[in-house]
Amino acid sequence: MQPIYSSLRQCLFSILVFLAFWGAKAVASEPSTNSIPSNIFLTDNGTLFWYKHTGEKVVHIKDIEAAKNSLESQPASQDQEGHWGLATNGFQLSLRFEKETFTNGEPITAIILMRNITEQTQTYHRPPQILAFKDGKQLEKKRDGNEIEVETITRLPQETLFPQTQHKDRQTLNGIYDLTQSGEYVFQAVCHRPEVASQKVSILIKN
Amino acid sequence: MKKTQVLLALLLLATNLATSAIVAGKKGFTVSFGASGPPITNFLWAVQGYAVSNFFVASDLTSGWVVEQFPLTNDTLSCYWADGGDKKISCDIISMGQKLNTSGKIHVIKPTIDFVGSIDGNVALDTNYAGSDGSVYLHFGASVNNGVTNWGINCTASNPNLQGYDTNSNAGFWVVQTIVSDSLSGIKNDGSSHTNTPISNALDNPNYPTKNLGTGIGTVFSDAPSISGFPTNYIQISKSQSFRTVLMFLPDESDMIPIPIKEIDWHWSGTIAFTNNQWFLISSNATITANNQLTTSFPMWTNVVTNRYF
Repeated sequence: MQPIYSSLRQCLFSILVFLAFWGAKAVASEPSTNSIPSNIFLTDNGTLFWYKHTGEKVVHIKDIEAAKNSLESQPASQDQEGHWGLATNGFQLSLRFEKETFTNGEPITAIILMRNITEQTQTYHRPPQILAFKDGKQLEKKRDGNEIEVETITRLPQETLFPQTQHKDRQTLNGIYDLTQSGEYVFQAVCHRPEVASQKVSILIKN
Repeated sequence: MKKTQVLLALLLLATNLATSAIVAGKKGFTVSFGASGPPITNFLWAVQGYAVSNFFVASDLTSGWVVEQFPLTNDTLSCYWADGGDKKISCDIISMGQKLNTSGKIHVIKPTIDFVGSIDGNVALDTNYAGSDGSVYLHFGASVNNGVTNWGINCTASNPNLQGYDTNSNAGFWVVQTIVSDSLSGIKNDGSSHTNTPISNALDNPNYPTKNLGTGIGTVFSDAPSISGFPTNYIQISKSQSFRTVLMFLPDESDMIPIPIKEIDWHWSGTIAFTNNQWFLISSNATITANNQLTTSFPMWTNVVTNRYF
């Protein structure tokens, strides 16, 4: 045996080789609760609720704390930027934009919040649609004359919304409407099943 | 089962290192002789089973992809297993000119669950479609009879078994549905034909996950796709869609990715013709091509399709 190998063998018997496994959870379970404070509405993006082995549905406290500091989770009266519409059929609908003025061609993304304001689980058709108006006239949605244009439902629109929660959807309006003309546009989010609408929101598009 | 961080030690060349961990969790391994040991100049890891580097979903949901390759020549190894069972990890090293090998074994827990699809509705052409505004729909399911809606496909999760995974932890089963292929073609009233740009590998609407199935105890994901608003300059229209509906498992812990467990593959199609000022259904099909199928294949997509209304 060569000296160097002998040295290494000795080393092997005296020094451990560590195979560290950190895959299992390294932090203690976070406390959770199934009680959402009143006047707070949590945005459920599909991952809000977790389930215990017993079947109990729980929400992370950190999500509740985050909601307490989020404007969109406050009651409509405390969220003027949300342009919340009237409470109708157990729901309330919000439409907001990141700003009031856009440059022509700039993507205009609308953020829609559909909120369950009852104490019961409810269903509605998701996503709410956005109506667009210019000069007092409702705009038609864009159509591609080169394609066969049909209404398409690939996924069942009926969605469940739990009490004190809301769904958030984003829609880029340039892809839905022709917004290439400068001027003032008015948008409104609407849901037809059940009927509920946001306030109308004015947006200025400038060259 | 204890899920706190585990530090395992073994003598070089020792084998049969065994511990357990839940699938979906990031696993990391290192090899060293410790601070006072000789330096290691080369590493070559080997990992048994289907392990991936990560699974990503773009913030705007327009793409989802898995990265399968992870570095095998660093001093550390980091990966997620997508399949369960005993997995051997080994590492060839060179230290002080000598080639040595160490290996260990980890037991990866992968929950089991049934995810069974059933076709409960027909392909039809009429106004009897849940949520119809009175228009005529070519639809797969969602007919309402005596107040009961018969969805096109119901995918029911049941009999979950976490295989001993920590019962104090939260977890969830998710459904992620992608459109494998989507075609729309037609014959115009002048006899010419047109086929729309086909869609493939798309997330079915901009929601991820598609649905949270919670405990997986009798929870159901349903669907009933349709088209309507047929253009008047066409005398025949054909629609065909194939879906992949994947049931994934995600523990509520840090450094986790959802892991595919079961999938249902299904398809529907219909062709309608315009005769005597009326549309008629002339052919249709609805089929489940893979049901309750075990999978390790992550859902992947390169675009997102949104329900389209006029």
